[in-house]
Amino acid sequence: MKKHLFVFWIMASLLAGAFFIAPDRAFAMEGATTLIAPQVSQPAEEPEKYVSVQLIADQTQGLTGEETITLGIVQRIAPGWHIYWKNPGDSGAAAEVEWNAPDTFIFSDLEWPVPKKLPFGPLMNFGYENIATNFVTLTLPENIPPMPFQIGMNIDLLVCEEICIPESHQASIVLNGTVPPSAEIMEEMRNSFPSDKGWDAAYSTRGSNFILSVTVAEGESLQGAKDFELFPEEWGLIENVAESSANIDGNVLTITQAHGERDFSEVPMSKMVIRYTDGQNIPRGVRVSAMLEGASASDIAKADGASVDIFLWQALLFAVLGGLILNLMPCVFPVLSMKALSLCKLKDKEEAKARLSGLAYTAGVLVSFAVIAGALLAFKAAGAEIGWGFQLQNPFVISLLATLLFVIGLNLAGLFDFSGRFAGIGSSLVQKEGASGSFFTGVLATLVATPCTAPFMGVAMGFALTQPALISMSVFLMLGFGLALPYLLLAYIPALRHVLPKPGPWMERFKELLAFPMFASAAWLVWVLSQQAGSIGVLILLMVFVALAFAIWTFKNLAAQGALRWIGLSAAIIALIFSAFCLSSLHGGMMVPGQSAGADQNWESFSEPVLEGYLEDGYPVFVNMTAAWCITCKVNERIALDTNATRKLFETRGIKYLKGDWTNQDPEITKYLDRYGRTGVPLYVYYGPRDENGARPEPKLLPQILTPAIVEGEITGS
Amino acid sequence: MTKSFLTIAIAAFTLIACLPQSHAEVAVGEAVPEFTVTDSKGVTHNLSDFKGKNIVLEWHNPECPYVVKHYEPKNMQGLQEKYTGQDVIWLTINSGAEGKQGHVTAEEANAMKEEKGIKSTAYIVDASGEVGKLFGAKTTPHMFVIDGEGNLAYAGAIDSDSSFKSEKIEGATNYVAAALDSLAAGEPIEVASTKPYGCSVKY
Repeated sequence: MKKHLFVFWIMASLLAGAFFIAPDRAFAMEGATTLIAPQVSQPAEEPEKYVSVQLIADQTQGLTGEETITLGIVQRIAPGWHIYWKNPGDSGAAAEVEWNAPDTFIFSDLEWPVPKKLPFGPLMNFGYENIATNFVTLTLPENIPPMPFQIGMNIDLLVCEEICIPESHQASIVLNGTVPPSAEIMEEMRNSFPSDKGWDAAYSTRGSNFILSVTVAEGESLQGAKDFELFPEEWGLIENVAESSANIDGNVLTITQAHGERDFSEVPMSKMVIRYTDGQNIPRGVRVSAMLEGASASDIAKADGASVDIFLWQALLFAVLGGLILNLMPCVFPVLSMKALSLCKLKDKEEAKARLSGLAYTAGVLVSFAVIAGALLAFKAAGAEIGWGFQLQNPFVISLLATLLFVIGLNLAGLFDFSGRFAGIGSSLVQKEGASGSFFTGVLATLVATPCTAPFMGVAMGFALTQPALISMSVFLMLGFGLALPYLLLAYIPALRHVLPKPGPWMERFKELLAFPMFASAAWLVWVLSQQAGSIGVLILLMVFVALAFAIWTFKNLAAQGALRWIGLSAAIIALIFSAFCLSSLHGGMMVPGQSAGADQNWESFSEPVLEGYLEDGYPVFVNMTAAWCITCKVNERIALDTNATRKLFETRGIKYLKGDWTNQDPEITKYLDRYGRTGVPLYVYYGPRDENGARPEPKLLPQILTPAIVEGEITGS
Repeated sequence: MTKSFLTIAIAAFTLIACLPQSHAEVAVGEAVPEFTVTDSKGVTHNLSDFKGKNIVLEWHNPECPYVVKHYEPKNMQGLQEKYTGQDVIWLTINSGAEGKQGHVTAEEANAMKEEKGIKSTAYIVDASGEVGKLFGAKTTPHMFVIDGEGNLAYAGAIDSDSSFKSEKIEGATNYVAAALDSLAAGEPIEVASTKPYGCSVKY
C-alpha cells in the first residue's frame, strides 16, 4: 500500500523525463546553457554518479516579473541507493542547495516530500529511494525583459547504499524560452508532499516515551487511517529506530515512540511529518507544528479514555456540568433544597432580597472553591505529590466533614433549630435569608460537596491540574459556579420559584426526610475513616457524634430553665471539649491501614518493585489504583473486579493483581498515576503477557467505569 | 535468505529498542560504565586505567567521505596530536563489521595509522560493534568526550558544519576541541550534545 506513492513517483518521473528530452533542440539559438537529460551530462572522466538532478518549473513562459513560480529539483536515484530527508535520521545528510541567480530573485527554503523509513542495521534513516523532488518557491523581481534567462543551481547531496558517496550536481532551467512548463506533473507531485493542515499538535515526554498528540481540525477526519509513521524535523526527539504506536480517539491522534537523546527543553517547537495510509488505502502525509508541553490536554483526555479532546472551553463546560451534578449528591441536595424552599417564602416584591441571597450564596461557593483550589495549587507548586481528592486523604478532615454532615442531619431531623448564638456556619438554613446566611450556606454546600465526586469532574480536574495556575483556578471556579447555578437561577427568575410547591406544613416533613441522606453521607465518611484510622478511629468519631448530639440536646432543653442552666451548659461544654479532643486525636498519627484482606484475597499491595519484578518475570499484571473515598473505585471493584468471573479470569491467565491504595497520601502511587496522565483514582492498567517473540505489548489503560465485559475484553484482547 | 535474516535482525532490534532501556547506555552528564578494549597493537585498555584524564572517542571508517573530509586536510590528525600532547587519551574506534565497508583488521589498522599519520593514543578494531553500541555511536565520525571523573561530557558531531567538504572545516566551530578546552580550563561545556553527522556506522 505504501508502495503506491512510489509507483506513482516512478510514473511521474517517466512522464517528466519525456518532457525534458523534447525541448533540447531549442537551446542552442538562445545561447543558454542547454538543458539536457542529466544522465548524459556527466563528462566521461567523472566517476559514475548515483543521482541525476533536473530542474523543472510550473511556469516557464511569458514571465514579466513579480510572479511567484514553483521550481522542482527532481533527483533520480540509482536502484538500491537512497538520499536523505531534511532530518536524515541517525546518519546521512540532507541535500544542500545554492542558487545561481541575481540577488533580486528570492528563493524559499526547500520543501520536502514525505520521507520513508530506511532501516540500516541498528540505525534508522529517513529519506528517499528511486526519485525525490524538492519544491522551491521563487519570487521573480519586477520588470523581466521578455528574453530567455537561466536559473542555475548547485546541489550537494549524499547518496548511500551501504556505503555513502557525496555528490555535487549542477542543474539549470531556462525561463521565457521554449522549455514547456511542468505544471501538470508538479501538481501531481504535490500528492507526495505532506499537507500543512495547521492541526493543533503538542508533544510531551512521559517516562521513556515521546508522545505526540494531534487534534484533527473540525470537518476533517483520520477515520480508517493506519500505518502511522512519525518524522520529526528536529533531530533527537525520538529514538529513530524504535517502533511507534498510534492511537486515534475521536479527533485526536496520539503517536508514542521511545524518547530520543535530546533534552526536549532545547526544542520548544518542531515541525513533524506524519505519514499514514488513509481509509481508501492511499498514502498520505501531513505536516504539523508541534509545541512542547508538560502534558497536553489531549494526552490527558486520551489517558482518561474519553473520546473527546479537552479544550479549555470544554473543560470549563464540564466543570459547570460537574458542579450542577454535585447539587444532586446526597450530601449537597438537602442543603440546597432547604435553601431553595426558603426562597419560596419570599414574595415577588422581595425580588431584590432574593437576588442578594442568590449572589451571596454564589459568592460563598466561589470563595470556598477558590480557597480549596488555591491550597491544592499551592501544595502542588511546593512539589507535593497530591491530586484531586487530597482533602480526603486526611482523617481529620474526614472526621470534621462527617461531624458536620451529622449535625446538619440532626438539625434537619428536628432535634434542634440553629439559633442566633450558632450564627456562623450555615446558621440559617431556612429561617434567615440574610446575605451572610446565604454566603455561609454557600460555604457549607461546598464543604459538604467535597466528598462527592461526579464522573464529569474527573476529566476536568485532570485537565485543570496539568494547566497553569490561572487555568486551573478557572476550572475550579466554574465547578463552583455550576454548584451555585441552580440556586442563583431560582433567585433571579421568580417564574422558576413559582414552579416550586407552595410552602406549607409539608415542608417540615420534607426537611426531616432530608436528614436521612445526610446521615447516609456521614455513615459513608465513617467507613472511609475506618480505612484511614482503623476501628479506633471509628469509635472515636462515633463518640464525638454522641457527645455532640448530647451537647445539642442539653443546650436545647436546659438553656431556658434558669436553675439547671449551668449544669446543662457545663455538661454540653464538657461534651464539646471531649468531641474536640477526640477529633484532634484523629489529626495525624493514628493512621492504621485497613486490614480488610480476607483469606481469599486475590491481590497484592502495589509497589513499584513488586510490579517490576512481575513484569521482568513475564507475568501479565493488572494494576488497580483505588481509594476508600473513591466511590467509582468501589463500585468498579464490586461490579467488575471482585466478581467470581473476573477472579477466575485472573487465575486462569496467571494474571498478577496489584492493588494500590491511595486512601492516604502515597507518593509512589501519585507518581504512578502521573505516569499515565492521571491526577486521581481510579486507574486500571493491564500489562499483557509476552507474545511469541517475547515482546510485551504496550500497557493498556482501562476506562474509569468498568463492567465485567470491559475487563474481559481488555484482557483477552477481543 | 539475506532478506529474511535482515527482517529478523530488524525485528530483533526493534524489540530491543522497545525495551525500557532502549537508548544507548551512556548519556551526557552520566557516568560511563566500565569497558575494556584491545587496540590494534594488542594492548588492553580499561576505562578505569584512564581515571583522571580526559578521553576522546572517535568513530572511524577510513572510506567514509565525512571521515575523509577531516583526514585529507589533516584536521583530525592535528587535533589528535594537539590533545594527546595535552595528556588527553584519544581512542579511534572502528565498529565496522567484518565484510562491511571500512572494516579493517588490526594489521591493516597499524599500516593505516602509519600511512595516514593517525596520532590517536590507540586504534581499536571493534568489529563486533560492542563498544559502538554501548555508546550508541551512529555515524563516522561520531565523537564522544569523557571527563577525568568518567562522566560523558560531550556527544555528537565533531564540528558545526555537516557538509562533506574539507573547505568548510575552517569557519566551523569544533565542538570536541571546545569541550576539551573547557574541561582543561575547568569551565562548563557550552555545547554538550549535538546531532552527529556522517556515514552510518557499518555494524
